[in-house]
Amino acid sequence: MSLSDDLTNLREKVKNQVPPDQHAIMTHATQDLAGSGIIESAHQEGDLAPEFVLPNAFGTPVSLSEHLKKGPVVLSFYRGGW
Amino acid sequence: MQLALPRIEELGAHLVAVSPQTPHNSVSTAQGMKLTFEVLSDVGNHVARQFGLVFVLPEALRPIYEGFGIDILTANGDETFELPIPATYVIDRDRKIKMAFVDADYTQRVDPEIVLSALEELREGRQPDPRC
Repeated sequence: MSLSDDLTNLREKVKNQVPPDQHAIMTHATQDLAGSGIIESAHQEGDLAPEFVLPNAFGTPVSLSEHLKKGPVVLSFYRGGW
Repeated sequence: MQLALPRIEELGAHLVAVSPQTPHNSVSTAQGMKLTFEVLSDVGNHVARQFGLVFVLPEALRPIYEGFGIDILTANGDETFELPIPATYVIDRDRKIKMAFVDADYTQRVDPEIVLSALEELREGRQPDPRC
């Protein structure tokens, strides 16, 4: 199954498991967010990524520039394991 | 993205995931999801803010998430309900962003093939085509 099939299934699942009024609130909130201009003002291709140092799961500080010395970085922001 | 991890590493790159969860909560995530890449704690969303990705979860949504058993206050260790918009970046060794995928809809994910193409083009020393 392709990624887009998986995502379509996820969207259907969310739609079916969430009561319609809650689903409407969630969809509306996503649309509001998309319309707020945040996507356009976020960092885009061609921008310089800010250097940062953050702790990993074990509390050890990890810096972007240290990782970049080894090669390119695929940096993924997500909301949480939930 | 985790499935693409071997190919990402073959291309000389590393996957780094960032969330506002505290390190303790990240470990639970890491163990639960059997992650084999770096998971970083951006408590307070300071780095996400520098990338322009931070939004506040609307009040109308908060009881809905609680109803799903998601406790954002505990997971993130702060009371702001600030979250990052999901985003994936390919960053080159000179810290330039070569590919950016930013979407307000959390059910949309970047296609790993786009990430891999960008990495392949970096390897070959060319500019990635954003139209791909």
